[in-house]
Amino acid sequence: MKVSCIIVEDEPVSRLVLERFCQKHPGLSLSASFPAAEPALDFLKTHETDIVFLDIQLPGINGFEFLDQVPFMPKVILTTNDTGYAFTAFQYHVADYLKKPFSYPRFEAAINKARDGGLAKKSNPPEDVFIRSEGRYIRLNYTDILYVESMGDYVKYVTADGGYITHSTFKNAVEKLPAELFMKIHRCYIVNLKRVSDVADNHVLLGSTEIPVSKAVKSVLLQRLNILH
Amino acid sequence: MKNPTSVLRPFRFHPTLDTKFLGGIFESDPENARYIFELFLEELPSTVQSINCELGKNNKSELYEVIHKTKTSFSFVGLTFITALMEDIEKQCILVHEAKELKEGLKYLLHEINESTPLIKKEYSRLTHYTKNLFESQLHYC
Repeated sequence: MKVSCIIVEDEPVSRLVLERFCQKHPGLSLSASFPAAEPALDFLKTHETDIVFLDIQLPGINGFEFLDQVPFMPKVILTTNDTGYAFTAFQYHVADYLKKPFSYPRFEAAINKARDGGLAKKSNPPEDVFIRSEGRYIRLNYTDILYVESMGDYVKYVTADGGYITHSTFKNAVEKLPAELFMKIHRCYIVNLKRVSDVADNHVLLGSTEIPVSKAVKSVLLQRLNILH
Repeated sequence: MKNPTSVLRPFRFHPTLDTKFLGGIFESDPENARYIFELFLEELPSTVQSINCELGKNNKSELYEVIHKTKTSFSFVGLTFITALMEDIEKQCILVHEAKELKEGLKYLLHEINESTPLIKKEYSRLTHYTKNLFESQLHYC
């Protein structure tokens, strides 16, 4: 099966080179190519994508700010002239870093890295996760997690039996939880889509708990829930 | 019968260009090189026009954007020294108050671009010819 990808790159020649390389690669399917961040964000709201080729310095926004607004976590291959972003890239768990200009073999190596680093997991995801809370590791089955809440330097995993607070980052939770089951619907909340019982204008209900929904992701949320019109 | 890649000698770029760099990017893929040289030459007039236009308007932020957006494309065709020049101008763009303060640097940059363009056109023509021959030898081989 081909891996879907998009390009977000404002340098025309670099973008066209990437397009060419994507078309040449037998395992890739190029869904779209954008010279700016905004249309790419709109696209990602309605299209789950495996790999994003992302320029760090985009007009008006940097690549990391862009990633903060993406409603799910694709594999990211950064394209840049400057290697000074390595630490931030590491924090964002980017799959690879293509320094411009790059060769086709280097491009292929980046694809392999992205595929080895996680795309294969999609077909056979683990069913549970261990979190460290109150000095012990607790196994949480994904299906039991109702929602996850950001609490600054801590993250709260809420199940029907109660909440578990762990010292971690919200970004880490976004990346660890399987994208097919969970969705970040607000800057502080990830919900288990199977446990959403009600959708209102600006919030969803999980049982009796109200969770706010960002305007930006509402349409994607509705698409991902199996709504009968 | 000989393999078509052994019928033709490997393509060699003009030594004035950064051949080590080009070798690293294109390796044994002259068709890709031809395509990228073509793209570069298509984009070049609008790059030059934008630099002149933003300098004329004394628009520092737009000038920065143009330089930032186009600098890498010169490396893709082996003009790494022009990319380096543009990186310098990009850094100066942040330091100066007005775009016109960069006039001399930009004049030099445009002169270098202008001087290098005929060579890039010539290399593009050679690449086109080479890939055509390669294609024909492949047909013959089949």
